[in-house]
Amino acid sequence: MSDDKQKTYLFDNPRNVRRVVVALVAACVILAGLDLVVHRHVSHPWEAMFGFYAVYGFVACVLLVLLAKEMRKLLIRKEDYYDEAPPTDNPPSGEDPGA
Amino acid sequence: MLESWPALPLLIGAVLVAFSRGPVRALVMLAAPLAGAWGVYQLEPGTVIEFQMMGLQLTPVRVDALSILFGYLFHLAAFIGVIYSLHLKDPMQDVAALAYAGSAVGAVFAGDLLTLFVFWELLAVTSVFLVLARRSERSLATGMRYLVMQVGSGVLLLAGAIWYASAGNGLGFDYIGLDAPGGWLIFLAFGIKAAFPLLHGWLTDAYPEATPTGTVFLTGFTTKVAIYSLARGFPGTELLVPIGTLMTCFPIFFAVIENDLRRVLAYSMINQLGFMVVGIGIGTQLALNGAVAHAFNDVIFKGLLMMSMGAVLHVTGEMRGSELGGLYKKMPKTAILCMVGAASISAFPLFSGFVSKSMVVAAAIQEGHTVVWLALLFASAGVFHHAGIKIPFFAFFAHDSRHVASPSMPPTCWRRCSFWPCRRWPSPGSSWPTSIRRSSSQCTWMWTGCIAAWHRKRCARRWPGLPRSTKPCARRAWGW
Repeated sequence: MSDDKQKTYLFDNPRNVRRVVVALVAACVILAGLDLVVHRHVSHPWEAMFGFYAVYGFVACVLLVLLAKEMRKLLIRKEDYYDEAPPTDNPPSGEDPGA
Repeated sequence: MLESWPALPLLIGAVLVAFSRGPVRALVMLAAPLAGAWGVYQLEPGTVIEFQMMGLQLTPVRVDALSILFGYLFHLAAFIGVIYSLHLKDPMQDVAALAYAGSAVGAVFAGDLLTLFVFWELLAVTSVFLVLARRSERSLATGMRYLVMQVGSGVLLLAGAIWYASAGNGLGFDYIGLDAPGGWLIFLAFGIKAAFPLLHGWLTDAYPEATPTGTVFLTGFTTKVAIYSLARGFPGTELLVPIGTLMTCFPIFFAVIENDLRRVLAYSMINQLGFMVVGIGIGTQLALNGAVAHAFNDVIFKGLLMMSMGAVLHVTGEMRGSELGGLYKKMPKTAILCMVGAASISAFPLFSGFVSKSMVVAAAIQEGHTVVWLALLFASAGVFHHAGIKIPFFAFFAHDSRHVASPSMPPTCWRRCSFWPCRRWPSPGSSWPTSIRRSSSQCTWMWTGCIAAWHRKRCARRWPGLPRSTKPCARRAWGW
């Protein structure tokens, strides 16, 4: 137990987190750049536009989150809305509840 | 005749499991899907078994490429699920799981609508026990709602089949189409099990409430039988394209705001089913192959994601994303496997989802469905967002949850991989010795001296805090 508290894990070090972020951004930039170099077998004219998939994917994710945030205002309910216990407090079955 | 019936090994296995315990039960559970897969391998495409009953021409077995593919898939899913659930000592779940898998196999080899109906209902009746096995008020209520929807689907199928047959079409389960008498009823029956929009409530309601192992089985069979049935009865039905497109898009919004991570996966499942439904609706060779390939892949990667979340639930007793986090420190292998599943469902290059999803998307462009293509791209980005990022991030990274600070526990995946005999790792509040003592009975048959010696060293090194001052039987159980 005490051993766990002392142990430093991979992402406890902020430098490692930064490295992952930098690697991901670099991968995105390289992949976007490859759009100019690699020949793509397009089936639709929009696919031939530079960065179409990158921009579309980014806009889709942003739109999704923004719309979902608005939906949350409308749909959000407390966990005991149906007078039931929180969803996952029961011990998994087939196991020993008394263990 | 019956000996070549592909569902037989799994159904016999289910009966044998009910009367066996310990290592025999484990052996039967492992052998049943293997024997069934061997049986499928022996089947020649084109084989048809027919007989007359009460004036009806029944075809319990019809073998072709499509049914063989799904036959292999279901045996594979059953085998993986059995390995995942070997640690359980719950005959109800074991019997239900094998009978459920057998029903799915029976359904995909059914050559007539009456046989399909029988297995359709068997799927419902057997699978509900995987929800009820949670043994809580909540799961009982959910199970009943689930059963009503599933049996209702069967009733619609029966009504449609009777109407279809009485119009002189016979009972043969081939292309039906919406214009056939009773076609709409059968379509609706398939639609309920395929989780069409507004008919999907049972899926997001029941799957997250099933047991950790039960959800893995549920993921593999019911909806895939529905996809098979749509591919068999309604390929190229235009209506399926907008329905499938809607299925890909609407659940991603709910998945983003959902807190229960297994429910997020349930929404994501509807999203994946949408891709298959679109493929069946487009109906070209590429689209149909893409839909079937995606069904195959979905069983594997969604099963993997459900397994990883089941492992988290098993270890922490928690499934709310807001209460989880940082578990990569305690369950690193589970975290890696979860990310493999996440990459696959997100259609990351070199993973299975990339191939099958691209087939459906490409088919949509080729057939000039530009809006559908854009919607599928949007849905792909959405599934990457919630299943690819949200699931692994909230469970294994984000902030360190209270479960990370709990007494040291070995990763569930490690225990599974090494056939760890302990039935349940003690939760932070419970004492060690009880759990350890209860595990001793299983140890007697699973432990070999070789593994025990290796394990003892590993435990001593990785979890030095394990209690040693327990009763001798408990120490023996641990191999200490």
